[in-house]
Amino acid sequence: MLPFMDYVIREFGTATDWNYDNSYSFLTATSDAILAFETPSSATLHVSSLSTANFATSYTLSTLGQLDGSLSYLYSSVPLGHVPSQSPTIPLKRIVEGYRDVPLPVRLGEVARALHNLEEGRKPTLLHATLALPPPTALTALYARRIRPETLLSVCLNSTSITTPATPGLPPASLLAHVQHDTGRFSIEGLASTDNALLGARALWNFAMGQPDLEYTTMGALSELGGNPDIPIPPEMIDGLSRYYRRLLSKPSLLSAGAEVYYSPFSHVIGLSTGLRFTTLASHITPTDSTKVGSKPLAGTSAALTSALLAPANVSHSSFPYTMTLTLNPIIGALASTYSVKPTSNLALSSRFDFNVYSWESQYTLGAEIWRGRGRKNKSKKIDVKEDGTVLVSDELAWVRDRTKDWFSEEERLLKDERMDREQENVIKLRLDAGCNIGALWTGRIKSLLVSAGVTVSPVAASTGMMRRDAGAMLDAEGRRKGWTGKIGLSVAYST
Amino acid sequence: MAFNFNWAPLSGDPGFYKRAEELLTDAMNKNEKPAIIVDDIIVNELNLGDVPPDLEVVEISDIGVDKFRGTFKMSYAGNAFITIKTRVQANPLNTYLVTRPTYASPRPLAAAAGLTIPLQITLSDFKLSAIIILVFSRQKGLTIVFRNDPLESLKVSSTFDSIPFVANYLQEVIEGQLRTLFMDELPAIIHRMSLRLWVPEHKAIEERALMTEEDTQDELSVDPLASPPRDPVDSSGATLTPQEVAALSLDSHRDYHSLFSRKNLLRLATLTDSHRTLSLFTPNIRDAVFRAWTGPLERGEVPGSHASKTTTPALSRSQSYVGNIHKTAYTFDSSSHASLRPALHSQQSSLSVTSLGSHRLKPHGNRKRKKRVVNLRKSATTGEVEAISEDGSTVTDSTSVTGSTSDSPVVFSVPPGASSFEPTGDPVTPPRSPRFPASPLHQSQEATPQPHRRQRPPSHIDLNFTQPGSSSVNHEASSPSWTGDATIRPRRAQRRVVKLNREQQHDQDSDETPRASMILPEQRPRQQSHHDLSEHAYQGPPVTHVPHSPQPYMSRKAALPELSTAGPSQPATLPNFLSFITDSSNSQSIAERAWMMKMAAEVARRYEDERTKGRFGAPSTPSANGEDNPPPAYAR
Repeated sequence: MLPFMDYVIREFGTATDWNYDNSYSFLTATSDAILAFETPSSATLHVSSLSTANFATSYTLSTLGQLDGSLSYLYSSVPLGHVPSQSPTIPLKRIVEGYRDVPLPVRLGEVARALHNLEEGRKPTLLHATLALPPPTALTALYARRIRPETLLSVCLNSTSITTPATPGLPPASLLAHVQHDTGRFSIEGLASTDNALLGARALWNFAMGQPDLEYTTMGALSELGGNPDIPIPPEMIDGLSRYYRRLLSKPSLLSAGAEVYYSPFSHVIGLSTGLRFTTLASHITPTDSTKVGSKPLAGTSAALTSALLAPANVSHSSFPYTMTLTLNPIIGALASTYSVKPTSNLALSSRFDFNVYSWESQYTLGAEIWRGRGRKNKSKKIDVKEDGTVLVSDELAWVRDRTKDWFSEEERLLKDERMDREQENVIKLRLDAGCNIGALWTGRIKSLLVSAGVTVSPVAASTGMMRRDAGAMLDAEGRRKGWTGKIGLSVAYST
Repeated sequence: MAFNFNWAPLSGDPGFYKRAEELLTDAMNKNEKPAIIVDDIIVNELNLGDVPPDLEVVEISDIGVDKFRGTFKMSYAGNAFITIKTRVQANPLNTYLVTRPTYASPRPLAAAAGLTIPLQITLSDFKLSAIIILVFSRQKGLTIVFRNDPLESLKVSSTFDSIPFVANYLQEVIEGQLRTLFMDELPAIIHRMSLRLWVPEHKAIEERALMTEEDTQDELSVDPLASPPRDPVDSSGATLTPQEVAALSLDSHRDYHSLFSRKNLLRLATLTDSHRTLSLFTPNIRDAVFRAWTGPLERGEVPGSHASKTTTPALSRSQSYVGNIHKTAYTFDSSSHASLRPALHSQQSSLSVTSLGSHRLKPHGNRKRKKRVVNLRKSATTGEVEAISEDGSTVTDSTSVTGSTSDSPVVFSVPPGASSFEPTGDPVTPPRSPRFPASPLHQSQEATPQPHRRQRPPSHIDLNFTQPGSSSVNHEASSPSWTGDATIRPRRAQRRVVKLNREQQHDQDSDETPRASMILPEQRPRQQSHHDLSEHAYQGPPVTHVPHSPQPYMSRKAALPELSTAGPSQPATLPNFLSFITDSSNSQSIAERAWMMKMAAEVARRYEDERTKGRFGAPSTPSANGEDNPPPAYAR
């Protein structure tokens, strides 16, 4: 479950049409969400509020033997009043990271930027700070600003009040500057940290983005915006565009490749990795997609075009959504491949295979994400198959429905159903790896609280003599490992 | 002056390396490890090599047989090596990120993937150059302090030798770690090991913690007071056959005392040899106390404590057998006092521990004592006693015989019953007899050191049953033995004792040193009838005054009769200096042993109590400077 502040920050990005997925950092977001989810390790209570459209606060109280907590404040120059912020209304999908439907990266151009300036007048800015109370007192702060429509600058500050750092050379405070430049076709990022002067660069390239001429998009957008339908669209352009989208429809997929490199001139830390991702884009191409309904004109530009040009395009897909990634760290020879699939709308499965070409260490992880509580409507229906083969669907509560039919209007009933659905909705995540590490997480609603409960169990590593001596009680006579360790936690969130 | 620096024995002891490896492993894992090390550090192999370090004596500020303080200049370029095993994180970015808070970290996608590699590091070619301050004392062990950074250079060879970057990094890190090891950890390790080696108390504590039965078995095998000795020789060193040994019935007469353990004699020989050199090696002699542990009194450092006999090391054989007693704090020569009463009275409570076995029963004990006195005199007058010089190595029969025969009246002690000593300053043991209400404290105290002056052999290491630092222990120990008398027939017993002593001291110039081992053989099984628990429980001050002291013996008391076989295991719970009491070899009958167990328990309890109360510094006792006195300890 995402913390409230992270949720608000993400919504800030969504509201400003920032495509978080078009970044190398999120290349494996799908499998990470299913396989590497965090389980809470203590009893935590979050109380949050989006008090105004621009201001949010959050308080956290957690206990793990000792009590600690944090205070958070957030200011956004973009009004976020449309964002559902009350814990009963926040869609679970948005605060639980699961199988990620990667949207089609939108190509931004000159006109889009002009449009942005025209629209907003000022640049979206976000300020966020958290003071974590002991132990140890830490201050974290974030400053994010869309300096240009395709560029996001964020600066992170972390300051810890440790008098004697546990690790030599660990500075009490560090600043990380992060510049992201996303053009749709590619995304590049630059990082610089004051800690050991670590520098980093990431890049992601989306293949097969054979989007036709930029000018056309520009004109189309302008014509839509300006409401000036008089500008004629050259037919050859329409042809090119339709070709592009047709191809996209026949193979609604996206292939991306990326790389990242880190280097610290002081400590000579070097890091390098490359990655490849192939994912289906199903839900974002189909015109019936409803997730983009409330999106802003910029994102809607292409979507509108798509739907306009390819009206009959509710083509059924040949297969269910899936994502494959392959990452390679050439320095240490680590290979990781993941395969995630979403066979039904309520189930997502993922697997990951890690392999190190130097040490031949390998790890296999399996995970599942199960959404529940959405098929509730048919619960009271009973299906009887009679001997003669006729199927009789009997609804025991039909008479109740009949009676109460008039109590609510159609809209009210829809709202009620939606709300019932939402309240019943919950998600279970499970993971298991070859080393018998087990993780389970349940997230759902209890009354108007968002509750997340998780447990992680892993066998005690009894690899060395020292540990054997320490954990002697846990071992049987043959010295085989018997003990298990784990953590269990509960997180309760309430927000208004 | 030359030092014979013996480097090889360190490597000769098979257990040494194992212990050292354990200690090093513990030391290395104690501190916070660098983040790059993701597993415990295990010392895999340790070898000190065969090239000893060069030691140059810069200064010796204090030297004694069992203490030493000096400054050395050490340089080492030997072939010692050590192999360490652990697992390290090979990805520097992973290490970097692990130590950083996640918030402001770059959060790479896969660049921080971990790769742990088993790592084996061999450190060799040590080049050390240091100025070492070495302080050694028997009680406090060996302390080494480096005045400078000793590490000059070393060679680090590891799994990563082929990668110069990693190799350099490792070299750097390891040198840093080693410096702290040398400066901080190594002195602690050496101190701990030396404590284990030389301070039996420490060892006893550890053993108690480990509850190892084997150690007690080992002790048995080297018991020099075993009767009969395992490898008996006569006073001339000739090996005795079992038949001869059998012929010398233990209980029959004092011929038994002519049996010596050959092993023991060899040890004594080594001991005296060691006195003539600077060798720090001292043989392990059971139930012996070393000079460093003794108080000033026992060390003969009391002014004017010059023994007339120091020039004649010869002691009677029986004396040498029990000779240990002569070094106890409470041997005194009552003959030097005109007034016997104070001395006698005071003896009551300060009976030395060794006398416990013989005097626990009033009527029988007294009778026996009397009888024995007669015997002693006889033997002294008849000159039957063979003598042996206390320099166990040089057994000079003829001379010592003459010496001992001539000295016998002096050397032989009054029956132990007379040799108790009650310091009236002790609130726990009030004077028992109203006849001697205020015993002249000064006299009795004066009396105490005298036997030392006279009978103290020149050797630096004294054989002792009791330990000087525990001088109060002695009188604690002794009081129970006499309270038995006091509680049941106090007046009569004391009077009798006084009478006895008067007689004895009038007609003989006797040494009052209690001689447990001499007396033990005379114990009779019938005395068992007096050992009922109630009597024991009523043994007087130790029990009544210190009922709360948590001694395990209380529980064992109930099982006293069955303890006959449990003798060897018993010392594990006793204070070290009392272990001999429970030694099965010291007593013959079940009753005796049971009695001794009980007495030991009480002694131990009182000792503990007194120690916690800090009573040892009672001004009236010879151990008034209790703080200066080293803690009780016995070599084995």
